[in-house]
Amino acid sequence: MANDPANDTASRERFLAALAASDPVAAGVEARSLLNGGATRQTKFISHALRGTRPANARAFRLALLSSFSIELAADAIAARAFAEGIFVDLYIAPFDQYRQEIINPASELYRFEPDAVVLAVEGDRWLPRIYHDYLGVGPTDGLKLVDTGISEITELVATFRQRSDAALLVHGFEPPSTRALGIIDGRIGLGQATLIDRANEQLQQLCQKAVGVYAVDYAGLIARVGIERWYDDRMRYYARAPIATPMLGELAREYIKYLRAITGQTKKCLVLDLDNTLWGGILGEQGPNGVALGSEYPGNAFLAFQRAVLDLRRRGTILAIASKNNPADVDELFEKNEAMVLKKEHFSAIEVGWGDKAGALTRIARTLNIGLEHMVFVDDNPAECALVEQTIPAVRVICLPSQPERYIDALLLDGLFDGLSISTEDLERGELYRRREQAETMRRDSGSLEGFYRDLAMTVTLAPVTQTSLARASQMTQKTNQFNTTTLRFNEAKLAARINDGNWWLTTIDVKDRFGSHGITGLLMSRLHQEHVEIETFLMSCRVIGRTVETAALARLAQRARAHGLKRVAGRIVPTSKNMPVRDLYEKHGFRRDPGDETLWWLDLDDAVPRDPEWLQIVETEAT
Amino acid sequence: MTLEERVRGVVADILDLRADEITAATSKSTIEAWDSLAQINVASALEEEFGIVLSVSEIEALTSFANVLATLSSKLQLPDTR
Repeated sequence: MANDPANDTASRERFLAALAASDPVAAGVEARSLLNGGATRQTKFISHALRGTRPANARAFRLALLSSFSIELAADAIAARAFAEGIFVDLYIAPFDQYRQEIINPASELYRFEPDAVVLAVEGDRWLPRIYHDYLGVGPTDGLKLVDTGISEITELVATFRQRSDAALLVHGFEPPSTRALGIIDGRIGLGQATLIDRANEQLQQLCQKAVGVYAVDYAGLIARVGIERWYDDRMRYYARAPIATPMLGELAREYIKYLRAITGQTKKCLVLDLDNTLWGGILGEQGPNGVALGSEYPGNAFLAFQRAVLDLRRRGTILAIASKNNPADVDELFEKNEAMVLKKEHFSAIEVGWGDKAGALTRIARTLNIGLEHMVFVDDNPAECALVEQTIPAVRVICLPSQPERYIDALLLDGLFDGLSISTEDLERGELYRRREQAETMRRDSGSLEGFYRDLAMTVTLAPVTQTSLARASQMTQKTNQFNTTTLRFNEAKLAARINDGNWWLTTIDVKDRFGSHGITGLLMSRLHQEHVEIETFLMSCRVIGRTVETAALARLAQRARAHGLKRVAGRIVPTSKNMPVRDLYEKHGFRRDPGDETLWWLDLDDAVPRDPEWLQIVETEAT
Repeated sequence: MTLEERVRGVVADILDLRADEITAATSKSTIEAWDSLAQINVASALEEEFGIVLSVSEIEALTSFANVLATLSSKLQLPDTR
């Protein structure tokens, strides 16, 4: 897995030097070499080095990630790999599990970020929970209805997104179920669990075909390539809500970057191939036109398969060329006499065969075909040739083939360098995009749909005093919660226990249920009574339930309770940390005023308007849980 | 390179520190970047570097450089290098 440490050190030094010299192309070459092993530490190293660096001339690509899981772990992989591919990415990562709110709310951070592209990375079991986790409780007929319902939900979100943004939208497809509830007879009785997921993927693809600038990421295909057991890491799924195994995040990034490359017009247009030990096995000059390895036996069959893959690229519109050190007459003879050749001479738009260096050959090909070097890919089995081209014309993307021909296809296609989004179609659609954007402007004020979302959730918020039973959970939340946490004070159980019996403290746990089930105790409010006011010392909530107005409910009930106690004011404090951005404007948003002498302190006068119960929430106050 | 040097290199990469900034006393409470996310990244990087698989409780223990070394030593069945 790990590269040779000595090489790494040298490569890192060259990478940093190129960065310092504002040479992103050369830095990209080194970054690709460092990332080759896929190691987390290299990803981190590159991502750290890129912080604070901005491309000199080009605007950064703005990519937003909306996810149902902790996608933060993928952020470094995306930044590092995109840079290695010549794309400088500015990332916005929406808070965990906030994808619906971010899309529905026209004033969300997502839209403020003005993304160029947005990834909707939601695991399939969030759209179709019962098909993944309760197939036997659903049955095949109702299963199909659930697929329809899940797809409708995505359709609506996609439509809402399109009204508000003209960014490209990449929607994760549905992952295959890792087990089958019916085992080996899945699909023998009606529609199997796996079939239902396939149907969902078909419908998603259809939805994306109809929408503008919306693409279905073939997530099942991506997982299938490496295998579902390698893709997921159930330790991290349950421990950190990060279901994807860390080594696979690089693969996920690679998939996204295929789209980014296409969106930014960097799809490669021309493939320049070496001949000996690239298109066939052996040396033409020594073994003759019919002596090279190409045919039905190994390794000839592997070279043949590689030729078919190259031909497929040509059929898709990639221009082919040859750069080979050979006698031109020998090459002509092989094209004439070797009947096993899948690639014919006429498939190549430029042929450079001779004894000059390959950098010169590539430059001539670029000139002949009038193609920029940055749109060319050079493929060779000889590391020395590869290194020469990489050093002299770093704008050309070099693929240095592995030593085994059976791995050539993977090396050629892994990064999807030639993948386009069918640019001509996009051009046709551009007018439609602008038209829809205009409509969105007129509908922006229509925030009724966010309320509709809250209503659909059918939430019940239960406020209860901290008891001996809930003490452990309350303490744990103070230890673990970083984002929605006003003061980030940590408490062990003993410290909290002392407060339970202290009449000067109001300790309240917040429990949230919605139509998808119970989230359990996901919030904590601790306030201290003073003569004429109550001060909120700690207010925290789990990321799972933020952005749903639960905080408004908690503050409303606190204000009511304070009034009933004859108090005049409620105070709250925000202690900023590097993590608690989501909570910074909490008090301001709820009508508190900043203390004139202490800028971390906020006051709510109970004679003024105070937060009211959100009408879409059912609020229950209990004496004990 | 000793085990300690290799481990130090991994931890330094994840936390964006120089190797010589990491001492036996370096821990979650002394380094702000060493949050739970970084902890998971340290775990993944160690797994890749040393070809091991850590359990959740072993990952939870990766809260200081001393603990990282201890966990790794016992995992690789080497004498504790502290």
